[in-house]
Amino acid sequence: MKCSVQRVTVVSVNSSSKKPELRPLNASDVVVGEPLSLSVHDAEGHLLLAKGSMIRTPSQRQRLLSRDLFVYNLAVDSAAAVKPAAEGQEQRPRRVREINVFDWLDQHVAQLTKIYDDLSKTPLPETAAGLRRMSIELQRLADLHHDGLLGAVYLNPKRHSYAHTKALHVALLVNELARAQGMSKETRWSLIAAGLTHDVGMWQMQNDIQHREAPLSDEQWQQIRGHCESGIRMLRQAGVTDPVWLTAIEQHHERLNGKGYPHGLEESKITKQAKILAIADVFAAMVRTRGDREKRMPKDAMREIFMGRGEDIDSTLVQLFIKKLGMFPPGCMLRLVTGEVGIATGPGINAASPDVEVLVDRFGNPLARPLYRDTTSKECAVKEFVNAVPHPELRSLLPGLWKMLPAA
Amino acid sequence: MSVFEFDQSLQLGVQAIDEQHKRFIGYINDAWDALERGDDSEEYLYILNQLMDYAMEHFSFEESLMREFQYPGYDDHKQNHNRTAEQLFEFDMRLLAASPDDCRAFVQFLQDWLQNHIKVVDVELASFLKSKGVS
Ligand SMILES: [Fe+2]
Ligand SMILES: [Fe+2]
Repeated sequence: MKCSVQRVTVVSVNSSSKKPELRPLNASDVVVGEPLSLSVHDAEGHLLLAKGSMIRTPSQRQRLLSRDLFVYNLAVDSAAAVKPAAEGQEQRPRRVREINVFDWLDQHVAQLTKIYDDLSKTPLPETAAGLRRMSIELQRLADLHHDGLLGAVYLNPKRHSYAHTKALHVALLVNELARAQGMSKETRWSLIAAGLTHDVGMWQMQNDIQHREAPLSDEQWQQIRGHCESGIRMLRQAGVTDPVWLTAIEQHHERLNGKGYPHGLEESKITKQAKILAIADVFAAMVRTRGDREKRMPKDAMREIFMGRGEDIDSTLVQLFIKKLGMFPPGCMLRLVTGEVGIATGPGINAASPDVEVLVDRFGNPLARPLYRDTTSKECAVKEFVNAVPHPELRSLLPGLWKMLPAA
Repeated sequence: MSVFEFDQSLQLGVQAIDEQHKRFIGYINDAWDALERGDDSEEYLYILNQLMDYAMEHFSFEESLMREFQYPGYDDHKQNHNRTAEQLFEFDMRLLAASPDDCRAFVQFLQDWLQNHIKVVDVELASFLKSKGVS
């Protein structure tokens, strides 16, 4: 099987003193089936999507256009490209390395592994700073590559450990929920950091029991009951003082009906951020296999969460969660009524009809390249979840399902 | 042929709720259409997924209004939603094995439930909300 190749793109960057101006991205800039003719930036000018990135699907285009994104004025760009010496402008190429979402997952699991190890042994201020940096970067990337990153952590083809992939999954989910709630970037950074470290008080045990079916020992139970507090102790030792971050972790097992732990707090005492972390945590845990139980299909997990609305979990957040994530979140493997099998790559128009890339045809033959299906049309509707996509080259096809990201 | 119409008797006078009920009824009619056409059960899946998704959205929406205005009948009303949500989920699980008659029975159940729920349960919520100035 071919391993994934890191693509290197050279993008020219204008380094004149008279800077080109940002203007909003408009509909004519984005054409389905064509590479972007301009790099896309956020309001502060950070590069989000490099020129040349393919726009594969109508809904991908729609999602781009629905966000507040910017491009540098083409007039300035192209003038500079044709006459590099004009007005003292000079061109200096800068390499923007691109990686695929699975490379991103590998890198971030590795980063988290180091961070968790450090936190368990000798927490240093740089560990906390590393988590901060990771959160800020994750928020920036996730705002444009949310579906791809979610797909990668959900599929987890290299079977990275339970604790690390679940932490990344939770971090992505809390970012999306907090954004939908209109929370500031700063709050989201704190919440993402909390997502990355919510179970740091018991990560070794989580990975130990991932493959073990034996019931939990008393000691393990104690560790679970104490993990919110032991987690924040570890973070404090590394110099974390951010109250949003620490409180969210401390309270992420509190429940609205007061039956949670460690303090059995009532609803009004639990912060909104902790409630967000709680729902993300429950979902991310349910869709993963653990030694003592099978994973649930996302729809089934949603059902469970929905039925607990108002008792365990904040109802407004449940509603938002289902709406934002859909019943078929990115990465889940599906059979369509056509008989084709593929992978959901993003939310479609509504929660019941995701974008799907088909990889196996209706006769069970593997396809050479993914085929986009719009499941809002009745003929291509989603039929059911499947446990696997029977394609011998699956691992090499997966990276092509989502956009490339700029490397850190 | 059963066509479920949104008429005066279902109008509660709280615009957001009325709009949602219209859409809910729209999805039920989609299911009837599929049955009329003789579509096979795989086709209902799509409609049922939409219906389920929308039911959850609608229930959550009403409940969020109840919480916002501290509606005294919140627990009962939510229980009522829960029972139907369970049935929706449960039917979803066995849909592929269901016969057209099963499907017809289920859609009829849902239609009867919604009609009754609007006229008996939601109507009280609406008059409470109107008394709080919501329209
Ligand atoms: Fe209703
Ligand atoms: Fe209701």
